[in-house]
Amino acid sequence: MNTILRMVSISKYFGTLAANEDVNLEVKKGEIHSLLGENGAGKSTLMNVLYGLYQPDKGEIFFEDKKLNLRSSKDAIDLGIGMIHQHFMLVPVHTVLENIIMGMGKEKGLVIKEEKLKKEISEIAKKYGMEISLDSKVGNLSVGQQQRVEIVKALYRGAKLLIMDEPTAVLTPQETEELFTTLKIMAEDGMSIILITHKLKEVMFVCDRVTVLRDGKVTKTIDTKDTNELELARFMIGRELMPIERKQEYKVGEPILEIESLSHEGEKGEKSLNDISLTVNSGEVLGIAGVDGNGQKELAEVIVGLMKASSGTILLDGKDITENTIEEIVKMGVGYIPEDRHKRGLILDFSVSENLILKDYYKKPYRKTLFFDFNVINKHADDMISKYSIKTPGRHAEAKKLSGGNQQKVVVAREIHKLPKLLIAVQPTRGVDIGATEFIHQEIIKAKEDGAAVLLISTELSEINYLSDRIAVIYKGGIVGEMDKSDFDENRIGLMMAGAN
Amino acid sequence: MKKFDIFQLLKILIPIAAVFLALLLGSVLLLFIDVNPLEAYRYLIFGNFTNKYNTAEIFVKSTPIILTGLAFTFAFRTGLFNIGGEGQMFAGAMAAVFVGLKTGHLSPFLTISLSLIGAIIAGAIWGLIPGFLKGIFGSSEIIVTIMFNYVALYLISYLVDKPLRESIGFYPQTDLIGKNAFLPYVVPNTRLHIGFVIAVIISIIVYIILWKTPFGYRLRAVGFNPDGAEYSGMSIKKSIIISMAISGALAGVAGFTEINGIHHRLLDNFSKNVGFDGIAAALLGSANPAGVVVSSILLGMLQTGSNSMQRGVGVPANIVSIIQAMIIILVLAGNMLRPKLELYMRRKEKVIE
Amino acid sequence: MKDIFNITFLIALLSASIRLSVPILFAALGGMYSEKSGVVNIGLEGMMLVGAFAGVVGSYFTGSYWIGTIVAVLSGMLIAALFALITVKIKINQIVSGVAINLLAVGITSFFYRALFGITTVPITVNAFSPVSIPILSDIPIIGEILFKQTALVYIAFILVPISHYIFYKTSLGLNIRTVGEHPMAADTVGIPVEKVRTACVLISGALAGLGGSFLSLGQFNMFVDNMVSGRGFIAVAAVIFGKWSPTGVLMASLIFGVADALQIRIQMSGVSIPYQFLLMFPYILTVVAVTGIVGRTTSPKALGTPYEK
Repeated sequence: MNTILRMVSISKYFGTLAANEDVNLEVKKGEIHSLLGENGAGKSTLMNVLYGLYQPDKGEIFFEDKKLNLRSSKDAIDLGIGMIHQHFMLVPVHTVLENIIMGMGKEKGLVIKEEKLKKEISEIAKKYGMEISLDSKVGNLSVGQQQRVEIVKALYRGAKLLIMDEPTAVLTPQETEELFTTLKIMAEDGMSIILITHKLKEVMFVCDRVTVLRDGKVTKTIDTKDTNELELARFMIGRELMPIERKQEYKVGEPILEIESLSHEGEKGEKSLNDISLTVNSGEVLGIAGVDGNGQKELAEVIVGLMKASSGTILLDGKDITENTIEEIVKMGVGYIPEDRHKRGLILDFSVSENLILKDYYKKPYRKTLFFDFNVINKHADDMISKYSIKTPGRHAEAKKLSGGNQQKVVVAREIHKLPKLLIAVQPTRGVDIGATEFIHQEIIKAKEDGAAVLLISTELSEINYLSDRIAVIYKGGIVGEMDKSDFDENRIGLMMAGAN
Repeated sequence: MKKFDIFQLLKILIPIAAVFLALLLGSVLLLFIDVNPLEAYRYLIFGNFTNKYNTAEIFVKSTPIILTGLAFTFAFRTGLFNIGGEGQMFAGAMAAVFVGLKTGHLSPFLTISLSLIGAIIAGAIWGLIPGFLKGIFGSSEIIVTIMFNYVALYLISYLVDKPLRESIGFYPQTDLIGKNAFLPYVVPNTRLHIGFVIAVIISIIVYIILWKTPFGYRLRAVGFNPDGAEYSGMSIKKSIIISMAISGALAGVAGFTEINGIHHRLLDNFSKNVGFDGIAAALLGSANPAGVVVSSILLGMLQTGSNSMQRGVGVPANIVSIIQAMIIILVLAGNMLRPKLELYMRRKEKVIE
Repeated sequence: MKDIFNITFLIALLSASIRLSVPILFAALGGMYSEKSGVVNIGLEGMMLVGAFAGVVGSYFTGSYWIGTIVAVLSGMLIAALFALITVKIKINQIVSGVAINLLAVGITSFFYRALFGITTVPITVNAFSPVSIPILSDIPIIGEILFKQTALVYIAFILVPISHYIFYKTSLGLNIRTVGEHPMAADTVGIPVEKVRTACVLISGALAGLGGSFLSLGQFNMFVDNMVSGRGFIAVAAVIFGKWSPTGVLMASLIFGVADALQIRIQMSGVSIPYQFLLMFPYILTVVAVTGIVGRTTSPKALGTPYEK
């Protein structure tokens, strides 16, 4: 096999931060090559350099033995490099056809010749066994279908090397398998594929070779047949993972959250939650597993009062809170780590200390008569920063200046330090590095041991398995199964996540 | 000991550089009409200081600009664009005149207080309506406030034309308000009235509300991130409406100071463009109250100076609008480019280390 | 008062409505290009003002209102280039930039007017457009009178509607513009130059706003007076929203504003006892009603108002 791509000592800086330093990467023709690393290791930066979105500060790229000087993604596309981003680069209000041909004016002419284009595209889709309806609006397609649109979009532009950024993050285990089959067919056909991931299983299962990144540097390049998951984890993290400390015995107490036949309808009248019944007791973690977009967000937001239930009841500590507003529910001592810290959890332009009182800003002791008492607020901030080891230039630094992990710690600190009766944690470690993940996991366990009822909603099965005492699976807004931790079986849960019973 | 911070300096340097650059651009225009820029700028700047009256005029002109500037600032800091300072000022003026006409016979303290309260309420209403439409229907407050400027303009035109027209009925203007409703002068033999002091006090109050109270915290939180604010239990709609009402009230006070302090009656087209000058002052003063006061004084200076420039060298006073607009653009551009400049300097520093 | 609604009145009203909708239509079409690419342009007001002024200057010095119109278009583009520089390139907030552009336009036009023509009490007049009857079509009863006895710029404005529709929905250029306005990052990843597209769209908006301005000074009048645009640019911004960012929608919105304006003038002239100031307010209140009626901003381009940063 000959080499299609060589990236030689690539360095890329953001400000004074090195996102990539002296990175070498070599990909062969017809190979599936994994780029492995944790969040923030520099995988995406490296690929954006290869795709022409960033210009490297140092280093050279050779593609098919020609030295590249990429000025924009257009250059990369013209050479046959395609990229499928983790967040799809599709326009929801455009049709599938429009999404596939957008930006191809030079090749396909000023006037859009619909019939001709449709024929060409259908042929490519058929070749790899993908069926897509070209006239549908992309916004109406499922995530799996959208991913197919992305693949066809890249193939239609004549991609010889396809970069896929975390393609399985939004797929069910079954959809994932289908994707891998497609990828393998494409590789056999001579395509080269770079698979960006942090999931070790996938690397071992589908890739030929793997390059591991840590802190912007390559720690290892190796054939998958010569390594194993444990070794790869070491290359990726640079140390052994600490096992979490748990008290051997814990006491499950009274039911705190009782949900009875809860339903919710979305804006268009679709049922996003369908007859859900759940109970979470004091001192236990109930994990809700499921593929993204199956009602997790709605479940959390209906409980805390951000959305209104269309039917059913929610009891908190025996009190009916179904009709209560978010303001009232916040006051009742519900901690809520939201799915999206940028959108919900933080005011990014506020300082760390201001964010730490987001839910208590009007209360004493932070307030004296009509005014803030900054002595108390500052002291509170300093306490939280040290107790939750939040890395920040200071309490007055704006939240947006913190790393993702430390931002999340601010949210966790605020929601957990008051010992909530009920803690709802949605994707508590999404986009967070391993260190912060470990820390947040420990805090959740601690909250539970202090008697909180914890509702953990996550798409990461490993996280669910790790933290939960009981597990329920959500699919299309309904609970399709519930089991004890001792019955945890990834295959079975995977099937449930895809809707099978 | 605190290290000398060049980056702090940059923050102050940018507006100063912008003013100079804008004057430089203005001098190109002056050359274009065959006027010696140095001569013209001598009038523009020093024309203000030839006598006490002219110097006081700077502060007279800046008073309503401070207030409309605070109006824009307040809305801006809470995530809203209030382009309607002009209309809200008009609304305040209408109320102030009405109260001044009806209660001018009462004691000065009483009638002035009533005029102020009337102006505050009227301005607040003129801001509240767009706020309400934004909060409830999601209508763009930008469009609505702009439209409300015109509505207020024609309302004044109607008032001075018909119901409140002066008793002799000659000009389209109202009668003078009662003498007791006139704002007292603070410097004798000038037009500088107590309104300037009121404006400065209000700017301090605005600062305290926004940054020192839970109330302001909440409004700012909604402004920065409505989703985050909602998540923490705040009502977005309520905040938007309150913010717009307060913003409108601030501009309303400008109507009060203009009527009770300067014109003493309502007339068509009075204090035109002051609402937009306020936006300029707010942007120039990076939307913080102290900055607004300083920039308003600067704009006041340019405007009084431009009149003596027109008299002295025959340059159309409107050149000041160009210079003013260029200052805003340059300051904003400078602020946008500052992070890049800082980064460049930091990197250089690193290399030197 | 009785015969106010007879047929001659109606014809005159509708013909005037068409004429009065044209400046708004030009500017709103321009605004649509800019907004579809993701740039809010409340600087339309200032761009129209510059166009109105430049049109008069061009016509004054050459004697040709066509050259005046071309000067207006170019001047509109010039000030739009400044707007594009500060919003697209330097990424200053678009609303604030629009306000600044409007202030600048007021200053530039009033300063140069005095610099060129002196401080006059009576505005100078120039050669301006006169109506062109289109053969045959203008002979159709009623419709001919309303539609086909207008000035050349009116016809141009209305032809621009189907042309814009074709560009937006049938060409790759239009697809590029829509993609940039909806999802600039996606546009970037397929090699659409986001900043270039946005700059081009802002320039188009400047050209069309300039055209709209020149229609005011050369099509409806034959002179320039300070602030003669008096809010039409803002109404054009509202027409874009009201017309849900589509060329036909924008046409409908502009026509509605045109009818309102024409009605206002007619009623004022007919001596009805409503104070004329209330009639003058009418288009602005209608705009408020219009933007309030459009609940939410579901159809607005997703990236509207946000600068694109990699």
